[in-house]
Amino acid sequence: MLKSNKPRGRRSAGRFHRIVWAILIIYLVLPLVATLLYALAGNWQTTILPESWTLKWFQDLLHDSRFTEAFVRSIVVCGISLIVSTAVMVPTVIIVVLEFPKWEKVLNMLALIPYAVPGVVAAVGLIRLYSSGPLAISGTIWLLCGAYFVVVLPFMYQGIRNSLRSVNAVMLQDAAMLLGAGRWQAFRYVLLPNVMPGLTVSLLLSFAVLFGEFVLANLLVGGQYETIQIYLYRRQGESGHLSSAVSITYFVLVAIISGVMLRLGKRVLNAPSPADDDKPATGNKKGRGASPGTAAPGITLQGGQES
Amino acid sequence: MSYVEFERVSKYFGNAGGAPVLDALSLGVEKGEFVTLLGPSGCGKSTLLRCVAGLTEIDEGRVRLDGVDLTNMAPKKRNVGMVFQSYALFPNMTVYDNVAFGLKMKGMARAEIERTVKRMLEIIDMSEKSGQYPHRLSGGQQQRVALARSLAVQPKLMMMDEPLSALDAKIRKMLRVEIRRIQQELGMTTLFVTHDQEEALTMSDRICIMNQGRIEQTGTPEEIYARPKTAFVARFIGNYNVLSAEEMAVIGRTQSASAAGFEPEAYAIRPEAVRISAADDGSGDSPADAYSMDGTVSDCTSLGALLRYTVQVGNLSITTDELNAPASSRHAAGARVRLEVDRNACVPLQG
Repeated sequence: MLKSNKPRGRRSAGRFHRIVWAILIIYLVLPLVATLLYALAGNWQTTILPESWTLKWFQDLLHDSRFTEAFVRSIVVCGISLIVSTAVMVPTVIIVVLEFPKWEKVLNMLALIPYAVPGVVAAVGLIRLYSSGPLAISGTIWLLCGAYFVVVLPFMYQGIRNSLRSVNAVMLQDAAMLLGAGRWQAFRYVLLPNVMPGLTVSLLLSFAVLFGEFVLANLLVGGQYETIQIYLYRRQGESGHLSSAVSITYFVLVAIISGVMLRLGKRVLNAPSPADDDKPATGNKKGRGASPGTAAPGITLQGGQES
Repeated sequence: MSYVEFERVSKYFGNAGGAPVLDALSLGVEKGEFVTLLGPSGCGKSTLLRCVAGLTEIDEGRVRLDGVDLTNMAPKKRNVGMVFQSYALFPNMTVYDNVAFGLKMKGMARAEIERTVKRMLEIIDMSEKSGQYPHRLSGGQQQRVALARSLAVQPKLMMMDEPLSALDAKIRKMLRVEIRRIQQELGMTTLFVTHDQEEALTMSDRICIMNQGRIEQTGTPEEIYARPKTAFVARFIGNYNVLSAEEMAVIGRTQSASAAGFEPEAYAIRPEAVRISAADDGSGDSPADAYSMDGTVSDCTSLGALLRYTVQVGNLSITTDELNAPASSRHAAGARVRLEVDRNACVPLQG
């Protein structure tokens, strides 16, 4: 009895897992597929699938110089914000965690503030503050970059701090210094490479958030600096097919950029790959999982961070 | 003047004025010596190592290594190596790169680095793992790599902070032997911290028993085990019976402590020095130079090769070990037994 019971139990559990997966995939992928179909549809009235197909909408989009410009602008703003954020946050968090652990509370609070202030409120406040006075940068991308820096603060802080915690950074620094490394060398060769996996995840997350950000971009720079989201918003009314095409293009481009960033993150500063970062035990568990290969790379990465 | 000199080293909790972690501690370690700091957790033994390494500042006193005053020197200039309890290997580097790290920091030529790392990996018998990342190794292997990493830069003093405590018993015993072998081969001056008496007794040239930031007693393993000076040492190093003068009087069957000449405050009797026999056989003819007493067995535990009895004598509880020989019969709990202790097996203690 016991023998025949066990496998059946496991099999039904496996089926349950698969059902959950299927529901999740449908929930996530179906809207995307529908959008894709609509973007490719020529005539689509009374049938389940479109009656005719066309690439017209994509052509229209890619020939529109406003689209490419908006896209480049978005990348510029996100890029500047993330570069500044990395340059500021990595040393800050490392120094605070290693040298001034008492100040971690303050940093923690600061990192929570962006959640507490709604975008519209922040935007109105920022415009007021920076429209006059010594720092009149209202309406320029610098104000937007500054606001974006604050928006991604929580992601950057959490990601970096968690990687430091998971490797016991204080002890690694001690070990490095006893082996003859100065503070800078310990930072460059030991701490920074160990922060890289967490930083990569933070950057990806931040990038995705910023790339899709509309409220601040619209209120702070609006017509003067048309980002991809503002462009999308403006052309939505023109044609549903066109805005579907915009969504799909936008999705593909973000996916490509994310992939490139993941690659770079792995290679730069010989950071251990996310799989290497896992303990052997977790690796085994993953291998035994119901559906190998279905986990999205982003999810695996985050898992690696938390362990 | 010793190779390593601690001169009245003090360290206080928080700012000066707190309770002392290290209390005017002085100690000398000779070149090539393996000295173990043994004590319960919180006795300051790890703090002492961190002070030598420069990871913690000393409040008072100074530390000298080979005639050089380390007290205010940066950690990287001190020329000391350290092995941590949790290995502290760099997770982003392979075994090879971990061992090579210190040499690279020194700016050694690449060919020479390669030669040194290879030799180190041979010493710890890990040559075939040189391309692996630390998390693919077992705990014992990781600790061996950590040892090689510290050895590679040829520190003047090697310090180990409970390096075996995170490992399981079998590997711990193997590594004990291996560390001692490497230490003797290289003539490496070593400060070893542990709270495990057996580890200290088997590995060390000299043991310092630490308690509350002070060294209670220093000596070879034999000295420490055979002649504990204080009640603390006696209790910590073995399962000594520590008896006050009045309690000794009970054993000696004398009326008052002073009359019998029990002048020191306390005595220590090691469990294996107490002979146990059934109460009714050979009563009366105990040797003249031994104390004998009657009691009741309250507990008997088998430690494998030994049987450990707890015997109630009046209101005194005495521990005694007997070889668990196949022929000997056990005394069950509740049995009346006679205990005998040679007079010179009672070690007088100070304080």
